[in-house]
Amino acid sequence: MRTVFRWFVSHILPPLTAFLVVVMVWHFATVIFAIERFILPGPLLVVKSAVKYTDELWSGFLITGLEAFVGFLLSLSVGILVACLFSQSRLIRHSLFPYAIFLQTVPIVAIAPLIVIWFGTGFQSVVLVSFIISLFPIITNATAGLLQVDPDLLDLFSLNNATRWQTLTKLRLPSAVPSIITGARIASGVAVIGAIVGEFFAGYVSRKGLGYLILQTAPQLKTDKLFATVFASTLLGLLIFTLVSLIGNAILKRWYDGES
Amino acid sequence: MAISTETAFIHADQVGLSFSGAPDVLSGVNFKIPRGQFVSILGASGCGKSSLLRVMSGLQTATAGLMLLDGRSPGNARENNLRSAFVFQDPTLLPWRTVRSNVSLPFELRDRPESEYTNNVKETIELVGLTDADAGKRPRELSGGMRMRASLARALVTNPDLMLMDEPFSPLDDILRQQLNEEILRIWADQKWTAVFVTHNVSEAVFLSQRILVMHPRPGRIAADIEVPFDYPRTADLRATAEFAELMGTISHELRRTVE
Repeated sequence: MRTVFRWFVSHILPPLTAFLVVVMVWHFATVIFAIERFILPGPLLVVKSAVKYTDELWSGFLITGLEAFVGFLLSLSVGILVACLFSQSRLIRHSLFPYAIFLQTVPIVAIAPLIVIWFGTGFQSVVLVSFIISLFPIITNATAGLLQVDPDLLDLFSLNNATRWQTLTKLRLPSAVPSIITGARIASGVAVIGAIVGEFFAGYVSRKGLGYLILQTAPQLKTDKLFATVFASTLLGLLIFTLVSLIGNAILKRWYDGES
Repeated sequence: MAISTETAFIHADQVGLSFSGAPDVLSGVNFKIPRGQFVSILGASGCGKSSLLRVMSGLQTATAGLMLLDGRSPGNARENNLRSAFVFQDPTLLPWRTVRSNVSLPFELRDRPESEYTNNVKETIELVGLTDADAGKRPRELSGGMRMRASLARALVTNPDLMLMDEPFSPLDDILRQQLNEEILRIWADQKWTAVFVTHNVSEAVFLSQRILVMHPRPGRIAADIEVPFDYPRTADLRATAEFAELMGTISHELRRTVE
């Protein structure tokens, strides 16, 4: 009980206070300067709008969440596979790494229209955008982890005549788990951004995700609803990030401490 | 002690090791070690003693001369079931595995069925003085001495013909080191593998070995080949005798000459 209280005081109270202060300043700023509601709606208006559009926001939350989640899982699995390939030889790494960097540097807004031309609008294209932009952090972190193995352990494996496959599965991959988790944590946030940006280009009327809602709401000058949607997107990002972090920490604990 | 080539288990014939652009690491190293002998390689740090051990293990190939284990090159001998085990300076355990599963690793890498080695693993863990409870723990939960015991168990479990030990006890405090010295002798007396023990500690070398090869640095070569006349089993009392002190004096003197 005491520890829960102390944890609350040290971890929850400070950001909560900061949040409340910002909301107060925001509220009084809109009142004192009489800012037009289509330019900056006050926090109360945003809450009211969130309540009014709860159904629409909730379904958008689920749709975008699913897209981001599938995109993230794809980049996690493909990223680890690519990293395993990279870890096998310097030649492979040097030949292919420049194209991995391409993933990081290509402006997604520039290739999103291409994706729509090739794959049409809809779920698959949004997932693809989310996948493309969240792949890079997994590849780089996993590759670094697979290569940073204790040289004595590599010697131990070769002294035991270990095969390449055994060295990969019993030494390199387990050693890389902490790095892969770091990569996954970064990628999880990026995957949500990818899903929302993806919906800007490849969103679909039949199933409106949060990105699609943002795009639809902005020109209508329903700024309060726009704010509510943005907050929903932020919450989604936070949720996925927290989930991945919790799972990651649980795995790390199992990896290094106590009885499994 | 005249030993013919036929009976030499390890035969170093003008062994040299050099890397391009650097001074020679080893040059003109000659010795023969018969099967079952306990030999220490003693030298100041940087004299090439660890490199010599790596050449014996086959991790490194001699760039001049010939190193033969049982009449074959070390790499060839290892691939043809000469059981050589290597104990590193650090315990070199897989942090995500329990002690038991670390000790099982050599069998796993040889694709042996689990039922074949479980008893052996259990007995070897007991042999090095770890309890059944310790066997279920991860390396992080163990003290430095216990980790080194686990590392020894992993080497001993394969029932080796040859034990190559690279300053395995140097990070431990003096009392612990002496205890482990006594235990390793007890196990050697029972199992009679050939031991090559690298150390910079004169007392450790004298206590353990039948023979001490003193190395001279830059380039690494054998400066003296000294027989240790004490009978086995050797107990802690040996360290307090005048003969022990005298031999230590002689060898320290040899060692001093190599660095002056």
